[in-house]
This record gives sequence, structure tokens and C-alpha cells, in this order.
Amino acid sequence: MSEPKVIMVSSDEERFKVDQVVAEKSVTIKNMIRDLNPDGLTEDFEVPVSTIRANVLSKVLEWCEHHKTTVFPDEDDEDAKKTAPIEEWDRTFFRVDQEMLYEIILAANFLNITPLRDSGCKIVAEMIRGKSPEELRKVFNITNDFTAEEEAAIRRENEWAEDR
Amino acid sequence: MSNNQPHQFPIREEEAKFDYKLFNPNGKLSDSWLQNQYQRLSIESNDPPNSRENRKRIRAPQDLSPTNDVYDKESTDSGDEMLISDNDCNSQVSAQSGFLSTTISAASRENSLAHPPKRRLTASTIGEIVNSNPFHNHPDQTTLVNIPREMIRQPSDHALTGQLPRTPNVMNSPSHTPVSDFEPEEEEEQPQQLPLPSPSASPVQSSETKLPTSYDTIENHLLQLPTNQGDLINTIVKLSGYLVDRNQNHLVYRLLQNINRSSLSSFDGLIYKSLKRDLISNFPVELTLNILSNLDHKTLLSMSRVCKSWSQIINNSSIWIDLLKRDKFITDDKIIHEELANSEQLTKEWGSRTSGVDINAAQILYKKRYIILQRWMDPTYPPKRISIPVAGQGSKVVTCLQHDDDKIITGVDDKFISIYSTKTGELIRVLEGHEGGVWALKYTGNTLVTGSTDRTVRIWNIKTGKCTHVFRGHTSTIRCLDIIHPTVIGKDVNGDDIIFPEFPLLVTGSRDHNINVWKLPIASEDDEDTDDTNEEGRIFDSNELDNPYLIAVLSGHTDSVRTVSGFGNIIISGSYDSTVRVWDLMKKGECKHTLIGHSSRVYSIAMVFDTKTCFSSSVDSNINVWNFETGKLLKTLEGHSSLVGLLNLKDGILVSAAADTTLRIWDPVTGETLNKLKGHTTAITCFEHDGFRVVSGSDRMLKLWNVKDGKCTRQLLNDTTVNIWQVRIDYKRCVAAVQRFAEDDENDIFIEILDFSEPFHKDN
Repeated sequence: MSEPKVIMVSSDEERFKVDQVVAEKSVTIKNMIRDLNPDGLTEDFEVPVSTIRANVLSKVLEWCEHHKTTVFPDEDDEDAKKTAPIEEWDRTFFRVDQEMLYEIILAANFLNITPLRDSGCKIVAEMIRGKSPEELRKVFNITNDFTAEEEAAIRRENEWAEDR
Repeated sequence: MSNNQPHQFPIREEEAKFDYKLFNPNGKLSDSWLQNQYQRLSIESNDPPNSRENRKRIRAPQDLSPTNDVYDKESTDSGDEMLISDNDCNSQVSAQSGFLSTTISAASRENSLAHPPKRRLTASTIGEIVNSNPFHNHPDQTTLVNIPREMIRQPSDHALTGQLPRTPNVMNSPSHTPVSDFEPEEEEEQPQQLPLPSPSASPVQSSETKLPTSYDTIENHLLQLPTNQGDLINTIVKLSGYLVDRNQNHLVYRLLQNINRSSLSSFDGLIYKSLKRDLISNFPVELTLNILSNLDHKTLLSMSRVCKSWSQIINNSSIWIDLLKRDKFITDDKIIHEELANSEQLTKEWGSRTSGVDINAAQILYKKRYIILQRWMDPTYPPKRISIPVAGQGSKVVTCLQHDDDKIITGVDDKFISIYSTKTGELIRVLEGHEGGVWALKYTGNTLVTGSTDRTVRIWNIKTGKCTHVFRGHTSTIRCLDIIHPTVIGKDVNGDDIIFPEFPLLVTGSRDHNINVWKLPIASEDDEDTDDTNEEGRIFDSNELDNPYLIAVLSGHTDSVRTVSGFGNIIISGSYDSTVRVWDLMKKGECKHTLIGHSSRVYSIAMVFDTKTCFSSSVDSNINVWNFETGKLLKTLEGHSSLVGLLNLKDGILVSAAADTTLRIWDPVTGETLNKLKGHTTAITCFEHDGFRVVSGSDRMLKLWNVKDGKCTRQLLNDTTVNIWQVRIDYKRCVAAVQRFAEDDENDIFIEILDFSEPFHKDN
């Protein structure tokens, strides 16, 4: 007898059949399974994830599968979480367009997969770190809505942090 | 394709997946919905009277008859203008729309003769799905298709450009129209289409229940023959609008399959760019804060200049409070709140001077701390200096010093204790009572404890300046002391906090080899008027045997106790007998371990309660690392070449100072030497560090070192005529007790205050 699986159904009705341990990388799903099956799963368990489209869900599950045995630093240890570098595998995993990155992070947040969420947030932080306002506008396709005077004023206010 | 050659059409063999797979190829058109939508669109594109007319026509085509001629005439007559005309010209648009309605009926009629519409639209199962991006064109364009070629002056330009989508993105009916079917047919029929406004078509359709009009529209597109490239594209795009979203994806996918590499490449940039998004403003706030918690202040400030919404996001006190802690400027929430409480002054002295730029207080606090640190590290920055001559005669030594924002308290070996104002340098008060030199002092709140060579411990109320208690018992000089505050030391079986001790304790170490533990009487924080003001001189003064404050006498050392440190239930003492002892107050002060390892006098200790680790330094030039729970020697930190007199552990950094003229920075966990601070020329007499800075004193030198790189940043006092006795620092000040050699050989003692915290805006 094979183990019961978890079937996750995306917003566009794609069905993903995964091992329980993979699905339970999501605390949300883990809790749901536990609450509905206090004695453990006896048959396949279907979860509709109607806020996540199939392409995104597929990426998220790829991550869960890769990390199914990874032990992550203590949830409560903010320092350990902050200082942990992005894993090389995760870095490659996140080589996606910004829309996908956005939706993966939202999905990780929704599914409560903390290490994936934090890893994604770090990736976004890396896209930002050390960049000038003009570079940032380019990276995120943002229009500068400051007047020249407003921008000059903020710049003056920030001068204290500039390298001397 | 050959093995190494890239595929000419890379997507062609890719399998469709997920959201661009063909979705339900047999899905039916949703007729009534489409009809409504289509009507609404007609209304939108027309001015009210005409649109009403139009709607009527669509619902009941037979009503067309009376006006048909007019519209037809107009449309045929002005066909050229219609091509060139702009959409916002209402009269013409309405005219065109009227024409559209007419031709729809006409075309339908024509078509229905050859192919009954219903069969044509639903019977197809070949599955050539027509789709496109959800860009739709104005019905007018389709209408124009019906105009014979010779009437069209500007064939495709106009049709391709300038037309706004008038149909909604979501069309809920998949259509399965064999494209190949309709083209040749229409081409044949086309010439006959134009001239013919024929009301007789209408009844055919209306008799087909309610469906016809929606089918009409689709069918109409199919029947109108594209006469040029632009028209063909318009027709395809238009038809694709009748697909459900997911099938639109599929259509795009199918089109992409037929695109070669270089064409794909030209779309790549477009797609990449269009998928960029403002990741900062769009996330829910907790995710944005998560991202920002990875960034430094420079990046945050750069972000605040990107656009208004980012500026607002960055101007959020929780981000800056987080950063204050992360950069270790302030790690204690309580202190942050105290500092922020007076935000008005903070803003006035350090905040924005630009009108319209409103910056939150936490960011200003960060700026303040950052600038002050920069000033310390900038050798050219002159701190505000106050030199206070210490009154008295003869040669004296400042033996101990503690300070805060308001006061500096010093103990001198001439039995007086002096309190100065930190801000002005003024001598506030001298505490008299001890009969010998004061060698140890410590205060907490308004309570000061001093130990003297006169063998007594005295407790003082700092604000009133009165001695409130005299503890006797030690039989020799009190050389060191510590105060233990109630603290959480663990959890009990129920998961509740265990707090120990119940009340603050005083621990005193003496040359009599003993350590005494006392209950510390806490002086009232209230100003002046306490009960005993009118009972002048009522001092608690008792011998050891009848002193209710004495809790324990810890005996065991066989020589002077040189250093003592307490936390929770643990007291650790270092002695000239070369041992370190661990005492447990939960077990009535029993000696838990005697740590043997040093070969000579122990001078200084430091402990980390959480990791059960303690450090001891000795004349034997070593620093030993112990587990005080097991009593095991974990490591010996070697490097110094003579007496290591001082140890200080703070913010995860251990610093030691030795008679070999160097200081060393250690990683307390690995025991690794992080930096050697070399530059003094005589034994180090005193130092303090705070995680960023080390300030150290020796004969004629007061140096500032950067903890990060171990480099000497600057000399804090330039007079080379000075010996440094004591030094203490906080984030904005350095307080030192120095001895200056005056010209007449009289030694003078000064308290030097160096203040780096002059407000950013100096005119305040």
C-alpha cells in the first residue's frame, strides 16, 4: 500500500499530487490535515488552493519537494533567520520574472511556508540593496512622481548618510 | 533538427502546460451573456439617442427597415471619411454603428442562406481555436471590411492604430470557428454584400429564438472578408475576444509556436519589461517589512527617493526601530521608548529642517545615533570637552567611577565620594562618612553602594547625599562589589518564569578572603523629602551578627577576593589564591565549583549566564574559559604576555587588557582572537567597550579603537601630560579620570568629559 497523498488543486483547476511531507512544508496545510484527520491520513487528501494559479503552485511545490528534509533555523530566532545567506539552490529557483516572484512570495505567505517566504523576501531585498533611486525605478518600472524641488529636499535630508 | 543546432521554432515542440493548455475545447458559447455585453458596447460607443436606436435594432432587427436606407446611404457615401474619422466624433461614430447594425443583419442574411448560423458556429469540432490577446477593436473596423476595396484609400493604417478597445476583456464564449472555412467563402460572397440593405434577413434570425444576435456578431466577423493584412489581424483579434481567458492563453501559445527564435527574442524584452512590478508597494505590509528588514539605512534612504509611495513606506517608525536594534545602536526597547518619548526635542535638534518633509521620530533617532558614532570615529571632530579639577590635596588616585546622563560618581582613595553633573561638570555633592579610601562603588537608581579600606560597606541615597546604612562584618578592605537584580533565570515545571533573587542583592568581596551577600536596601527615588530627613543622622549601623540584611557569608577562598560578579542565583569570584569559585544562592550560597587552572592571581572575570560560561584573567597572562555549571575548563585563550588585568564582555564581544600594553578582542564562543589592539606604550590601566568602540587608557594615552577592524581611530586626549586612571563611555560621551602633571610638580587630578552629541542643528 502506498502512503496517502495530498492533492492540491490550483485556481485554474490543475491537480498536483504530492507526498504529505512535501505538502506539510505549508503550515497552513499541515494544520488543516491535522485538524481534519486527528488520527492521520488514511486516504488521499484534496485541498483546493483557489488563490494560487497552477504555474505558481507548481514552483512552490518544487521548492517544498527540494526542501522536504531541510531543517531550517529556529522560527523564533530572528537573528539566525536574518543572517542566514540565501541558499544557492534557492537563488537559482528564484530566477524568475517579477510577476512570478511576486506570486510565489504571496503564495508562501498564504500557505505559511516561512523559509520560502523569507528567502523570497531576501531575493527582493537583494534586487534593492545598494541601488540609487534611479536604478531602483528602472528595476521595478516605477515612475518618479516627485517634483524636482521635492526630490532635492529629500536628498538634502538624507545627506547625513552619504559617504564622506 | 540537428543535434547542436538550436531549434528554429523553439516553442513548437514544447508541450502546453497549465495555464496555456487548451481548456475545454467543446465549451459552448454563452449566448445571452454575450448578447448583453454586445448591446452594452453599442451603447457605449454612441451618443444616447442613436444608441437607443441601435439597441432596438439589435433586439428587433425588423425595426431597421425604415431607417435602413439612410444609414446605408450615409455609410456608402462617406465610406472614405469613416476610415479617416476619429472615434470621438460622435455623429460619425453613431453613423458607423448604425451602419454596423445594418450590415450585420445584411451579412447574416446573406450568410444564413448558405450556412445556417447555428450549425456553423456550434458544429465545428475541428478545434482550430481562434484566440489572441484581449485587445479588441471597435466594431467600426469590422464594418469597414465590408466596404469594397476600391473605396478604401488608406487600407490598414487606420484600422491598426488609434482604435480603443470597446469590448471587455472577458468574453465568455469559446468559439470554434474553422478559420480556413470562412475565408474563401467570404471572398466569393463579398462583392454582393455591400449594396444590399435587406430587411428580409431579420425575421430569419428572430425566429431562431434569442440566440441570433450574438451569433450574428461572431458570424458577422467571419463573413466579412479581410481585404488586407490589417483587416485580417483585426478580425482574428476580434474573434479571439470570444474565447475564455484560458483559451486566449492557448491561442497565444499556438501563435508563439509558429514564431522563430529571433522573433521570440524580440518579444522577450517586451514581456520581461512588462512583468516588472512595484514589489514594494504591492505586497501586504508584513511582507514589505520583511523585505525591508534585510536592508541597511543607506538603501532605505535611497528607496525613500524613488517615488511618493515608497517614501511613505520608508517613513515608518517600526522599520527604524528595527534598524536601531539590528545595528546595535540601541538594543533595549525600554531605552528606545524613552528616547522617543521626547520626540519634540529630538526633532528640533536632529530632525528635518525642510518644510514639507516630515520624518518619523525613530528615523531621526537613528540619524542621531549614526551621526554621533561617525563623530567618534572622525579624528577631526572635536568633542565638547569639560575638565573638572578634583578638589583635595596631595596625591590621590581615582579608584572607581560610574556615570550616566546626569551624574558622575567617583571614589577616591582619600575617603571621599564626589558626585558631578555630567552636563555642566559642576560638583554637586561630596559624600562623607568613610574613614578610609574608597575602592569599590556601584549605584543603581538612587541607591549608591561603596566599599572602603575602613572595612565597611555604606549605602547612600544619591539625591539627598545621606548615608542610610553602614554594613560591618568584613575584617579587611572591601575590594570589589556587585549588585544582583531580580531576573528570570528559567522556567518551572508549569512553564512559569522563575525569578531570582526576590529582591536586589549586594555582593561584596574583601581582602579578608570572604564574600558577603546582603539584601540591598533600595533608596527611594523621590526627591529629597523622605521620612528620615527630619531624623538627621539616623543611620542603620550594625555588626555582622545582628545585621538582618546579611544573607550569607561565602567562605572558601584562601586569599584576597579581587573580583566578584553575580547574576541570578550564581556568584562567581576570582581571588589572589589563583582560583575562581562558583557559588549558588539557591543552595544557600554553597560553593558549587572551585575552578582550578590559573597558576597565579585572578584579576578579572566575566560571565554569560545563558550559556553557563565564564571567563577569568590572571597574572599568568591567560584567560580561561569555564563552564560554571559543570566546572570544566573549556579553553585557555593565550596571547597576552603578562598580567591580564581587565576583562569586559558586551554585545557578544570579549575584550581583554593587559600589562603587556595591548588589548585583544576575542570571539567569546570560538575563543578566536579577532583583533590585537597595539599602540599603547605602557600597561593598560583602564578601558571600556560597547560593541563599536574600545576606549583604553594607559600612561599618557587615551585611545579610541574601532572594534570592527581593530585600528586605533584617534587619540581622545591630546595632552601627553596625562595619566589615565579610569575611563567610562556611553554612546555619546567619554568620561575619564586623569592625572595631569602640572609645571610645579603638583599632581592634579581631573575628570574629563568628552561629549560627541552636540545637536545637528547648532542654533538650538
